[in-house]
Amino acid sequence: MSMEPALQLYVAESRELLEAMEDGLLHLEREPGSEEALNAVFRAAHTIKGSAGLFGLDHVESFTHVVESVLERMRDGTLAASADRIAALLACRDHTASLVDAAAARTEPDGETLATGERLLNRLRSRLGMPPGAQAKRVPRGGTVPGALDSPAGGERDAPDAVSSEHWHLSLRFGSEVLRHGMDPLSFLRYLQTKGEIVRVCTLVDRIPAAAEMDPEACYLGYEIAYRTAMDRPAIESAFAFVRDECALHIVPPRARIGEYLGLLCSRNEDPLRLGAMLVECGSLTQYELDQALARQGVEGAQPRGVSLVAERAEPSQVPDAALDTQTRLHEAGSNDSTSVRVNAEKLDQLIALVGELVVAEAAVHAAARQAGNAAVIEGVLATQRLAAEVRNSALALRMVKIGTVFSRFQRLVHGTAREFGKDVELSIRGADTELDKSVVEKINDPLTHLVRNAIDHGIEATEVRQACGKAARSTLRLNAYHDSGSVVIEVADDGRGLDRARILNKALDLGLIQKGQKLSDAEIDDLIFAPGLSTAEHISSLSGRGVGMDVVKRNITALRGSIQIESRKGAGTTVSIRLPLTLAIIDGFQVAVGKSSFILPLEVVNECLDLNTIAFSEEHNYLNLRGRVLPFVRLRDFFELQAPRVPRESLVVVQHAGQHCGIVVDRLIGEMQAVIKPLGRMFERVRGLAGSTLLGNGEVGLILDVAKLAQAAIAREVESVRAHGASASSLAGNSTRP
Amino acid sequence: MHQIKVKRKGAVCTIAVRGDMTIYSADEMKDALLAAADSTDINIDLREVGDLDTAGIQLLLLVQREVLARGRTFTIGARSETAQTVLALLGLVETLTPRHARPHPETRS
Repeated sequence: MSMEPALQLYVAESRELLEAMEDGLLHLEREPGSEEALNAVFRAAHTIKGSAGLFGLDHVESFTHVVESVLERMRDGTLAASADRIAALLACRDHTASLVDAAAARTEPDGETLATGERLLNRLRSRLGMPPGAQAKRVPRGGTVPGALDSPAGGERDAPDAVSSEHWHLSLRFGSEVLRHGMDPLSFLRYLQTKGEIVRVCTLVDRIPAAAEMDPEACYLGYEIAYRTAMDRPAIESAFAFVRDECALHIVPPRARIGEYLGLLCSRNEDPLRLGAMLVECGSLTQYELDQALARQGVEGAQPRGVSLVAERAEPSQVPDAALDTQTRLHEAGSNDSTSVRVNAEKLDQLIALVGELVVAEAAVHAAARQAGNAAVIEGVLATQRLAAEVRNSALALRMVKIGTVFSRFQRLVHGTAREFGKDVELSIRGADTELDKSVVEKINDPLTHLVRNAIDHGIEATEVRQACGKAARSTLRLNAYHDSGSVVIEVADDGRGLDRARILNKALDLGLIQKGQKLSDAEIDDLIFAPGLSTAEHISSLSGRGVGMDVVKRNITALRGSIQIESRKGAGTTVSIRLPLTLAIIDGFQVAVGKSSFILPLEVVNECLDLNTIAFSEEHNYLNLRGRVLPFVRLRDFFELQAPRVPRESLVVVQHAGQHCGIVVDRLIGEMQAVIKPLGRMFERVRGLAGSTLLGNGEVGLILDVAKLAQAAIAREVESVRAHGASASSLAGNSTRP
Repeated sequence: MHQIKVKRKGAVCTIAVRGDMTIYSADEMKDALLAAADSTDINIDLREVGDLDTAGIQLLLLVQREVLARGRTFTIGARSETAQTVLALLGLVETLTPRHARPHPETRS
């Protein structure tokens, strides 16, 4: 049987559990009394540990075991949830994550990782401190049993798959003649009592035969004993010296490897489930450890159906309850996710590609149907097109992921970064439900991380400085996401000191980015921050300050067909806005043509279409007068330098982008259509104004326009000509309000 | 020396064991106990039990099983200190003297 798929599942689930752990720990820090958070953290650690055992992931198991012990103490109130402790636990969670990563990569963690683990464990252990004289009042569910007596001198160290019990386990099976030979198991038990503490005894009575056959002088009983003692193994064995020949004695030391218990289970010719249940009842094994041992043995952990240790009893014994209880808990934990399904990302992409082709094929059929002119066929085709569109939307929706998943990880980042820089920052998240394409979500993480670190490092002032300025000591970092006309906008805003424009100007001058005496608006100065090499940080921290940040962020965003803007007010704060397309896969488009070339505009950005002849425009000044508003515009044929013959009646498409309107002049308007976006290919990647290509219904290639670039171009042209025609600019002054 | 006294009261039969309940008398006790345990609810009285060893324990377990198999109730009522200590040492208190002894789910006639 291949463990591969199971291991992958384990890794995936562990990662989810680690996230839950992190959330829980952060929650716990805000609310130290929260039982719910503590329980969630404990459950996560416990499950990771248990499952790790099944896969023989010793490092994970042994590490999380100690973490679990600490959490157990916190649960029963012995340890408090101090900020220090939580920081330590967060570090442990991170370490666990790297151990899981190593397991996922099928490698052993390297020396450094292991050393880190040791350090963390020592930190934890020094805090464990045993309460004096503590005794287990009931069967321990898991985690260490605090013991007054420490591990024996048997030379056994903490093996990676060591069980948690800190007592010896003695398994005794006396021969049938032992009573007749003048010895009684009871006397051995009494002797053991003088040399230590018998924590629990489970007496096996199964071997008592039917009444008729039962020999009253024979011994049929067996014993499983949980025993605490300072004696070492030879000493314990010597206690049974007199019955060596007549007693099958099996001794398991404290913190033994699971394998030793497995050996015990196998060596007896008895039902391992029953025997295992008794081991659990003794407290020598936890149910989890038993499950692991049985799993290794390949025994199906059947639910004990209340078969008792004594022949049929009327009342359910405690032992099956323990097993049932854990099974129910496991089941419940698993069924939390029963409403969602894990899907391979590749399969999803395949589905979308197929749907895309379906859409194209539909368009072709539609075109042919229109040509044929058969009304019935056209109607049928319209129906299938509608369905295809719905399938397409559903498929795309599958790829949509709530940005909340990215945002929530930032809680941890903000927490850690704030600590690192000694700032007091609170993260406020809005719009966590905003959905974007999953590939976008993955790629947005790095840029956002950089922006957040920047904000905390440079933007937000130290507490004293803030208070001196009359600001609240605790600063707020806002992450905000929302949809806006076909794009997703993500904002990172802080209420810190804002950009220092004087500094930026100086640095830009130094770098030769601007000339002395050049006049720049505030917005333009702010924009300089995206220039490579520009950093006005006073100090260089690990990530920010080296001037390699913001330009990389901008490049990343641009690669996603997005745009980034920065807005800042001195003393009040800075807001960075990132605008991204909703999806990278399929667009609803509006097709236009210039000459023989077809172009596609995203339907969401199209406001209206007009006949150019109905509008007053000034070729000289490059602006249009649209119902009293100035509309910058660009002619596609000029923009792309197309040689096609001019047409008498051109059309105007008014589009909007980032709150601004502009016009695109084309030869013909074709109509609405859907397009699967195909990348342009390396040769054409750099072509300005194109965002992709698509296959049209007639088999030709349509070019998808990059509206942002076109809008920029249009506005730039207008600004330029306004400047150039300074005198006549005043005649435009009355119309210069933007729509 | 041992003695087994059987007293019937209504549906319940109380078997009082007096003396040692050990291997030395195990043989005789077995027959007597099983005979007395026939077809009624059983209550074992161990108040006057002196020594109780493994053989004695086994008898108690045997009788319990037989009684329950017949659909009757089995209880151990009063016990001597020795008896209780032994039961505790073997972890059999709950087994032999469950707090809520109920009739076996299979019918009583």
